[in-house]
Amino acid sequence: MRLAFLKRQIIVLALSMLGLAFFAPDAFAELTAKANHDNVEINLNYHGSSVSVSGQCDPGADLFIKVTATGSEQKLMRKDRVGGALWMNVEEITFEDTPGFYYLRGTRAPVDALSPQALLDNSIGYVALEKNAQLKPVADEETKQVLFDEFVKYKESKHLYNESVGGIDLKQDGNGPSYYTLFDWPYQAPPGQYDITVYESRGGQVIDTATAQLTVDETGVVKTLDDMATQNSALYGAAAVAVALVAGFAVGMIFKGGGAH
Amino acid sequence: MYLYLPVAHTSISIFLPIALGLTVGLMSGLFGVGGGFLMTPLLIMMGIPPTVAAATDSNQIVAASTSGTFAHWRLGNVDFKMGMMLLGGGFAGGLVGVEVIKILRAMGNADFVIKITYVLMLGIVGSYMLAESIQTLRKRKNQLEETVDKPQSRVARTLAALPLQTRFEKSGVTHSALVPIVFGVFVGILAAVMGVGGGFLLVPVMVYMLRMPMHVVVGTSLFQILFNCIEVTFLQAVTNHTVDFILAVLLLAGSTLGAQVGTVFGRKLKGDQLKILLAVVVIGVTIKMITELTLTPSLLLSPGGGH
Repeated sequence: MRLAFLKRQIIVLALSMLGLAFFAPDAFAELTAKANHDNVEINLNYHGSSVSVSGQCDPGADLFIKVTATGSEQKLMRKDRVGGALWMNVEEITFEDTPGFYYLRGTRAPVDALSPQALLDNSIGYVALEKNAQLKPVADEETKQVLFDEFVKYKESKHLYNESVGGIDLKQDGNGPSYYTLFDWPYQAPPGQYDITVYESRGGQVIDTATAQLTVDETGVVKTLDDMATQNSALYGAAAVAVALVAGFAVGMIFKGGGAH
Repeated sequence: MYLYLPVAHTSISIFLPIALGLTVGLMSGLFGVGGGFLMTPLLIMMGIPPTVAAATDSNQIVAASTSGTFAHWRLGNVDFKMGMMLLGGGFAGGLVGVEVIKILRAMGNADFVIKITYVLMLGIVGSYMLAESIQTLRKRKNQLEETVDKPQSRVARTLAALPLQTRFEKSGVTHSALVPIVFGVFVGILAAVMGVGGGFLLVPVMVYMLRMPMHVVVGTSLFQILFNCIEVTFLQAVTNHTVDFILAVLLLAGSTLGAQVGTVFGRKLKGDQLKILLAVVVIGVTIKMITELTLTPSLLLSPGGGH
């Protein structure tokens, strides 16, 4: 009787394991990230692009997708009213430990999904960026907060910073749970290397990350002219003047409405 | 249809700079100004970095002023003798102006000083031109040019007493050679500081101080601007790498045509009418710059460097 009971237990356990394996195949799916571009090419007709990020993920977890540029210091001039009348630049502020480009998209607001420490450790969200940034010469936290808000406003006006909630499609199919999001890549984003980092969070902590890379490159005529402007600047300057002179003369020759006054 | 600007690192609809070039080229042919005092701020508003806007603007002024100078030369409106003297002074003044800019940048507020210079110079010039032109139009009873039969002012008597008196046949005036050279230096300094061709400064100098006929002023001013801007374009390309060739081509596509059209319209207008029109434009730009300096800006941070 005892043996029969044991046999029944083993069969139930085996069936449970089989059920788990069959019905929840991706309970522990590995997070992956892939961009549709390895590089964005800036050619003569370039006006931005679209960059999609997709991959496998855990069902039920929150996702944050962050795109940042390398480089960590920027210098801007601060305006203030002088003499009660005129606005002028009064000092240079250096923003250290701040990326030149920062796009963040999440399934929820970062402060709702992650603990303060997790936000700081992974630089997720403007709040975390502000805490991690060093502003010089700024001594007190209140001024730092005000200036950082202005910094974000400035960067957003240039389409170089963006933080949003939503826009990440989650689905489950034969391949398991996956995500997909599409960024409108701004033409203002300069050439260079960009890091795409996907964070998976649960219970206020980051449980997994995945990365991909994106390169933005000038090509063709754009690259030729940009290189020439910096590396053969005398020839470039002479050519610019020559083209202007020829164009001016050519139009002058075409419009022959002359005769002395 | 968009084009990517390789030096400005931004993308722009091709129609915007062409339309802007057309408008400013029209002013070039009409008034004998390069249009930089209008073009550069408008380019900055379109999202072009200020240093690229100023340098590329000089490039397109070369095209517009070549077109305009050629058109006015055909009409017999260029006083080459006067122009060469103004140019000589302008070149020297430009070199000094570049050094002044370096010092201002080291002090950290070149942008503000440049804007204040704009406001003062444009305000004084525009107001004086408007007041004087309206006054002249009111007194006017025939079609004679205002330079005829006016009593000599104290300034004119002082200028007449200077050495090296030279006859300028095309303009029909006699002045000391020192006058256009010194004014040229002054204009050259201001032009380098403000990043313009200097026409809006030179035109009033030639009209009110040198008493040249307006139509000769237009052609001669364009001649001086042409060579000034050739110098500035080349120096900006070599020193600062801020001339955007694609943007310059788009601007000059409009400005060369605009300069021709402006020259045709200018022939149909009297000198005083031209002065009033230019004064209105100059005052309009001054008011805009004053509002930028006095109203709270939407962004309290701006990039370093500047104009």
